[in-house]
Amino acid sequence: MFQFQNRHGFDSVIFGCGLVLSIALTSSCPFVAAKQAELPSASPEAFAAEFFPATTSVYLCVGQATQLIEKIEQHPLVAAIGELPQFKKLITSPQFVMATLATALVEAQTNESILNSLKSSLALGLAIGIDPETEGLAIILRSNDEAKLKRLVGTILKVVASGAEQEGRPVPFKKGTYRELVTAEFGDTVIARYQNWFIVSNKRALAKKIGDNLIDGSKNSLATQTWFKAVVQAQSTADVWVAVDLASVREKGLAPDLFRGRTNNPGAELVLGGLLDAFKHAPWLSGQLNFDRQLDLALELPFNPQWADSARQFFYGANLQGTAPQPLLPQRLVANLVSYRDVADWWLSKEDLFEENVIAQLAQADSQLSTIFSGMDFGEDVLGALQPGIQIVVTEKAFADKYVPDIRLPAFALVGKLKESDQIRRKMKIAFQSLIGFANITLGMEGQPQLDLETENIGDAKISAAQYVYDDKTEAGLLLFNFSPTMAFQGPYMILSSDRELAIELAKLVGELRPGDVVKPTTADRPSEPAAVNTHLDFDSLVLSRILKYNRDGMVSQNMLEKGHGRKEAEAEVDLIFGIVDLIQNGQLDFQVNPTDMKLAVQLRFVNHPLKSSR
Amino acid sequence: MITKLKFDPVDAWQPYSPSVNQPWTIRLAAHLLRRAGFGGTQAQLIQAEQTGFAATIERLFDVNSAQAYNQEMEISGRLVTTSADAKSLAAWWLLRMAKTPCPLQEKMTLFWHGHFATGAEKVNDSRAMLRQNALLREHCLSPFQPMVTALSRDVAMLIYLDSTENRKTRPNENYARELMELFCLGPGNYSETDIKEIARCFTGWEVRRNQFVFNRHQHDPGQKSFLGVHGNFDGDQAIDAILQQPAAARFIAKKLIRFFVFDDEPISDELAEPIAVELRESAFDIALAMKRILSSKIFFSDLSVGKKIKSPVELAIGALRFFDVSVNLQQLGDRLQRLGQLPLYPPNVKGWDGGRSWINASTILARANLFHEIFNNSSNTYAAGSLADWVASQPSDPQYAANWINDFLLAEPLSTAAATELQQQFRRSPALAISCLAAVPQFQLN
Repeated sequence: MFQFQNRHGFDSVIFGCGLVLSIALTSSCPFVAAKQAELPSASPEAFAAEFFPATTSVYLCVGQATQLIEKIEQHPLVAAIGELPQFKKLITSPQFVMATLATALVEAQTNESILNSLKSSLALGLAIGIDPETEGLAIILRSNDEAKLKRLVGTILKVVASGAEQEGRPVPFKKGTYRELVTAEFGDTVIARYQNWFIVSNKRALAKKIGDNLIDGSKNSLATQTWFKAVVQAQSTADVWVAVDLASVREKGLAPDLFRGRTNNPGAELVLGGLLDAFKHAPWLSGQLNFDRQLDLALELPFNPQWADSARQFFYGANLQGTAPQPLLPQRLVANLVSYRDVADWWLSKEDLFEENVIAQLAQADSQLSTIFSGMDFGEDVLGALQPGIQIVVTEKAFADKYVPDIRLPAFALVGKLKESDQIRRKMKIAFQSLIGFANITLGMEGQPQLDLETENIGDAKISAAQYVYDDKTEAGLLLFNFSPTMAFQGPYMILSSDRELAIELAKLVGELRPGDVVKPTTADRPSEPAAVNTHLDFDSLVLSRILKYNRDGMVSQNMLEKGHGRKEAEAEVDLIFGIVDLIQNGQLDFQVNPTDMKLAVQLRFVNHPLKSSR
Repeated sequence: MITKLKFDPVDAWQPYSPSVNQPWTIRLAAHLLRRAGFGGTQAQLIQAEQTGFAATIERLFDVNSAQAYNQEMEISGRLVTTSADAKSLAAWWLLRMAKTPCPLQEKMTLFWHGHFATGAEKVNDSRAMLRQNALLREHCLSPFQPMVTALSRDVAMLIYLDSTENRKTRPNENYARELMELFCLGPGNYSETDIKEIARCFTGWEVRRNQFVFNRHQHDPGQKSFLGVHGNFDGDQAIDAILQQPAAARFIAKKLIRFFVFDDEPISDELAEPIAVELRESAFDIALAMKRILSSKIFFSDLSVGKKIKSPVELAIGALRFFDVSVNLQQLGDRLQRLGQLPLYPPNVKGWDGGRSWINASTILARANLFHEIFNNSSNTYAAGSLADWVASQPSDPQYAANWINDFLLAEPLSTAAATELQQQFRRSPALAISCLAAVPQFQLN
């Protein structure tokens, strides 16, 4: 029977369990059950699942833990982090030094480096489960060497006990046995070893269930649950593998806002709307993480078109066929987002999507915006003039030597496609002129430089660009100078940009688009799936890093105020951020809606390890 | 040892000279650094004691030592005003006070900010506030008249005193009134007619598009008569005439004495007169007057030591400097505002009353809570390390070990038993000891 133990010697518990948890959180494994007889799963991820109770709702498995540790160990990102001054400072902190001493003690007594001990302890895998019924979290490890595991656990307990004794505190754990398991209890937290298996749980009841399943096997475990089998079938092997029983999480009333199927925030609705349908109904969520020369995260939710709310056609498109438009990709791109969204449909469905207070606010905005747009109905006529699909582009902005603002923001633009160009173009242009006029009145009242609006034709593009008028009295460094608000038309495309040069570049790129292209998911590994995405985002960290560095002085000043640092300390912290950003080369996100599932894939590529071309 | 000085106006301003009766000690050095700045670190205090009184005074007045620092801070101040509001600018100034290598310059800037009080809330233009702050710093230890002249054209000042328009047909009397009552002469030294006439001198002084402009079409070039002078004066000449008044030097002398020497003692004309004479004879050279004040016998006497109450800014910045604490200064600014003193946000045109007004039933508790929050916030750092690291890194000179809390941190000493207990507590739990220290009455004194 697991024994109760008074809570004392908490530091030692932290140290002992921390060591074990640190093993768990950095590793992976194809589990082989102690009594694996009738278990149906074909996937290595499922083997540890047969020891967790059937009520487990979150399951995470690290398959090849030793290999993952080695990958992390050898990864240039880790080496670069090791060079960061903050990391160097961390490893000289008293806590780290104490942990290092304790580790050295363990190494001396086991006659093996702690890393090798960890690799051996995790060699056959690691799994973490959360069980709402016992309100417990458990970690299961399987070692490839029972004797080593036994020695390591015994040594850690010895070091913890002797540390407590030296400090005059009682030994913070109680040793015991439960059936064939050797246990130690730190208050409610239990660690147990059975042959080459090792269990840590914050609840005795959960540890007991896992122990019983390990010894006896179970016909009613997580592995036998229908939802879990479905996840196993849908997923492939990964460094880290996660399954969540959404039905059970919903039933327990956890995170109700996520599962309500509604948000009363128009912005969140525009971005996430369809996902809320899936979260409201989907039985499970699965995720995979692979870490190599890049980091790949893939999440999948089952989906049924019948779950789609009829007011959310703006998100899915007709018959779920909405795909992101072709992107225009200018030079010095920081980020590019393309997404299928029918903004007119979204605006006009507000009565079905939001509560009364938000509807009233949107109605008021509708009326004000209609005034700016020369009396046109904002939803029907203005947004309605746009085809579904939007692009947001962010690029590095070039500055002339004179009038460089203190804060150098990037340029950004919104790109849309008009349904019928000629008449709406003129009205859009008039609305833009009105907005510049309003801005000039405000700027004039504040004694700021005003905007001079000029219209020009460049090739087939019609450009209306407003630029600040400088004179000798203009105070240097005003934030405003970053912008030259511009509206451009090229063919059916309408471009609204913070910067004239960007608008011109985008207008030129319109001519280079190939008809019929769609945005393909870069991580698609199943050719049978529809080769198009609902939303795609990519960013270039190298350009972002350059922009951040232009603004180093501003970031240093902000750091000084927020942390009370002197300049040198602030500079060190800001440079640390640059150091981390510089380790990443670029990244992207793809979101797909399919008739049977929704998929989200994220890739992060590290510097010096360029990947295959994204499209 | 603090000299008991008989109240003698002539003797009061004679220079202090270390002697057997009143040697230059760590406690006197701490008093000087608290009043002429915001206090020092242990190392700075020990250095002040060891290098002697004269060298310490010279170092205090060496504003060139802050040249590089000031340049850096001017750049960051401009960046702060580009992207944030005046509250962030106040935080920026707090940082500047905490880190400056020339604390007297920041203390003088704070003094003049209270004297020429201008509130950021009403001005609503952080760039204008930054320009005024730079102007005060530039002139803080220089002749007074150029400072007044520059402030009379300062955009933030004119906005704050509703003096952005001043037409010859309807002269705006606000600035003329405050110029005499609050800035140069004090109440009772001018008449309503003087105000009306001086207001005519400033006609045509306007603010347009956040810039000062002189509108010659709106200036009244006619003859004006005030304070016993006659002529077709403009604003600058009016300032000249005001500062020629005998009351002007006395008024400034009293303000300096009240801010730097003591709060509550009545300051008679006789006591102020030697400083007023110094000002008159030096064309109102503030540095000379300040040197005289900070080097005087009365400044190091029991009439001054421990006879002021720390303002919230002095309290907080003193702690930041002594313990080399890095905190979120925007949050600190919010706390100081609740304690009644956020720089750039004076309560009214008269500035902060100071003295006993800093302390009441709620602020005494809030002062202790401020320290509790600072020293129990794990994200704060002390010389870039933990509080325990800071304690371990302090010089352990046995000369100061026995009574360091009294010597370094308190203007009025605690009893030996209390100080010993606190020092022991400091070794066990520094954060708790500092919280306890912040709650004792002696710690509120300056």
